Amino acid sequence: MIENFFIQASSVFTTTNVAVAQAAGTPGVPWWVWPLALLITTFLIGIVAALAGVGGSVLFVPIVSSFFPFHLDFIRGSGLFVALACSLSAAPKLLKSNFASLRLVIPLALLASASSIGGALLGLSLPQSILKILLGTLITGIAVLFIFSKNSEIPKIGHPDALARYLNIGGAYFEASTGKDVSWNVWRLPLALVLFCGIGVIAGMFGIGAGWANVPVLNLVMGAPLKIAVGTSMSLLAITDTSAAWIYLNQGAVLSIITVPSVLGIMAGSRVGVRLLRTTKPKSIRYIVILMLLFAGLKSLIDGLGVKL
Amino acid sequence: MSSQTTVLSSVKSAQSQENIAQSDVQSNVQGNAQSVNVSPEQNRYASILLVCSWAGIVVMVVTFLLYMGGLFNPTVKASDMPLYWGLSVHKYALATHAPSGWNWLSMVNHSDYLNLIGLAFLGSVSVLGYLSLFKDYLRKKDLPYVIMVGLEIIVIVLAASGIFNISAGG
Repeated sequence: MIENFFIQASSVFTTTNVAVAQAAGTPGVPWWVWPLALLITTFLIGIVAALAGVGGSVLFVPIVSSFFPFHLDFIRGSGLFVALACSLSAAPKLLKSNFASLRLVIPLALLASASSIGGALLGLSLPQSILKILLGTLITGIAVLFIFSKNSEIPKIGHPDALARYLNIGGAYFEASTGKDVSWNVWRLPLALVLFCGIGVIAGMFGIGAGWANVPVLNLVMGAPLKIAVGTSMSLLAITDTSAAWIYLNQGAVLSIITVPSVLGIMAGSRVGVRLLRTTKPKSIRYIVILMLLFAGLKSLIDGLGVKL
Repeated sequence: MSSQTTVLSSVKSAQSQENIAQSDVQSNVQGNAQSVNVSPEQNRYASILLVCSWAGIVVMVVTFLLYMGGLFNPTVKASDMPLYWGLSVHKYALATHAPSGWNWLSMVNHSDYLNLIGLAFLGSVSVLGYLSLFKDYLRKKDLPYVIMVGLEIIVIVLAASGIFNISAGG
């Protein structure tokens, strides 16, 4: 039943996007169709993103820029608010359950949020064609990363580095599958701090959040257990995206007619997706997300290069 | 290290690791979170995020409905937006005489700018949480975290201040 629902949802998603793409070239389309179509599209993105375990804005920016008539500046501004709102609504539960650690969040967020300002300024200063080429390359790269990355549930780590020890980063969480508390530490904090500077720049530049990069760095580089990596990444976004979101807001690159339906659609969709997660097979959905990212990434690349197909 | 290795060997799963993490996060969050201690400052920070983010979202929705309903004399009506949303932010500002930085505050009597209050509030939630953390770490005399939290507040306030301004690309 759930599989049928998902097939139908995919069909609605495709139909919506085709209709939207056709409407984009039709001046007679009533204005209210766009925010309504955006609400439906982002609702479906929210479901798919939650089922696939990815952040909504990594799908939002490439898909909306491919099928809707909005300028990329406004889509990126909205993308940051989408990521921010999703993070703010998810982080409290994760923090209260110790699936996220503030002692880990704070040093990483400081560098990521500072560098995201640079990324936002860079993104707002580049022409749309260049940004589309870069976005297309990035999204295609993320799709490839999703294909090949192998996260580790509880990685083996060496001795925590001096900085991680000095900052006393570590903690424990309850593991339901074993009924035990799991203690954890991290290492390679200095390397992670450098990587988070780069993540911040990309997040600010493209407005796509950064969960796709946060989790591998936290899990594979720093050795945080996967649950801690996912929870900490979600809590990090509330801070990283805040700085960049302010740059876009001050620049006037946030239009409520685009941002508000997007935020509401993705938040509602991700809540439905989380409920479906208990009964569906996320692995197959992950492949669909990879295909969607590849398609949106290549389309953005083709648009940016000005190639007519 | 050895305890981690033990846990590693005890955790078996048929599904992909990431998907397991996500589904288990959901179930743990709902049921079994009391077995590990959460620091009081983390708890307080989470509560601030929870209350303020929902308050911001409610304000955002209410003001958006006012705008879509054409109330409070919007400077650019929702029905006219298709003329402008395809422009770059720079061209949009020129075409609609949109204010930059915090100048929109002086125009909140227009519903399209009233809309920004909810969004700006969402952008302030983390700072409110960090102010609480700053006070808690100061009380605990946790100097590294006092400094980092203080710097983060400065970073976000600088970003929000509007001092970073740039001409938009094409």
